Amino acid sequence: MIVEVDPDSFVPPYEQIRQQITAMIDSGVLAPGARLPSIRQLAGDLGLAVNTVARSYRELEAAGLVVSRVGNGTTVAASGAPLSQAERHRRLRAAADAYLATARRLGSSAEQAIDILRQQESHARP
Amino acid sequence: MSSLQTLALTAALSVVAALVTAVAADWPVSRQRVQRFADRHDLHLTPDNSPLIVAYLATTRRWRAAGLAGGLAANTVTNLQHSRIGVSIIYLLAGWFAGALVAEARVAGLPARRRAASLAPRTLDRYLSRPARRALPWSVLAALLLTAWAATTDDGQAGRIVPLIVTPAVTLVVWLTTQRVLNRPQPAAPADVLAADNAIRSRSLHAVTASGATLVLYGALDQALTAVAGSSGPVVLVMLLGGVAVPWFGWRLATAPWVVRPDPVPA
Repeated sequence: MIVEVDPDSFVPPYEQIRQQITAMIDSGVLAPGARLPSIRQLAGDLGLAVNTVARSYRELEAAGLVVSRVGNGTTVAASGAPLSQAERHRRLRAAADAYLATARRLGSSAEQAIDILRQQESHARP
Repeated sequence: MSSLQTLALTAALSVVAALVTAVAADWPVSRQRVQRFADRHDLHLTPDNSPLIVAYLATTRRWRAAGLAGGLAANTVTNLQHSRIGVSIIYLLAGWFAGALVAEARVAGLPARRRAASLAPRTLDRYLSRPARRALPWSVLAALLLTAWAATTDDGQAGRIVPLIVTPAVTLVVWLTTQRVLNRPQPAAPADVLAADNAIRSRSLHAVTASGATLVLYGALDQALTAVAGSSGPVVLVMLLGGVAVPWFGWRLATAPWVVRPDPVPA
């Protein structure tokens, strides 16, 4: 279970970490109750400032995805009620931002990126 | 002994300590030693992870030898100032412990090839056996009880309460070093390199906690033995046996085999 930060990306590092952990929680790879590394450990391993990782964790906590308790560290929150529409939209927008940023970095236009998304969607359809 | 003689002797001992350190630094790490390390952690040696272990063993040996030599030098100077002969184990233990701490400060984390890291938390229970995790708390408790008991002898020796200062200081330093070892950077790397890095962390934690526990307990035992010097009886006998058993137990704990527990979350 690896988190990777692209230093050349347009997406700030804290956002990259937040998105990856969110995706792992949403897909069930990180189960409820799973413990995340301490902020200091993850910051050291990724070669980032402690504040950068702290911001990712704060945003994950604000979204109700993780719970931080003194002495217990940060754990994945138990899956409760389904996400509100606003939160769902917020996450989709964040994922779209990341996708478009990657497309731009690879020299593709937004239209090409949307076409590939449609192709993927049609492939995934049974 | 005049102050000039003490100064000359201190200088001579410093040179000896420096020589011991230099020899320890240059002596190559033997293949057997690397294999013994690997066996203790059930580690498979590869061309990629062996250099990490050799570097770690060389660094720890250099600084622990320097600490031991420094402790011996300090002991000799103190003995000469009080016109007595002998070797005090507490000085050697303190020197070795100090050297072990410096060594841990010198050991570097894995070099980062890319900015990627595992989400597995590094916790003490992955790297230390239960007895090793409990050694320091139990030693602190035993040291405080011993110190309290030695203080009741009321022989007017202010030195009896030294463990009350040393014990919290050692505990704090061990805790800080433990945090440093756990938080040493470990970016994503091939599995064999990660396994070696985890084994190194485990060995570091074993050495630091075991030597800290030994120092705390032996220090209190040393003071208690001084308090009952000249007495006889089962209590004195138990303490004398403790003077041998505590360093032996510390050594056993520091060198105990331990297979690092796998990541709690799949990689």
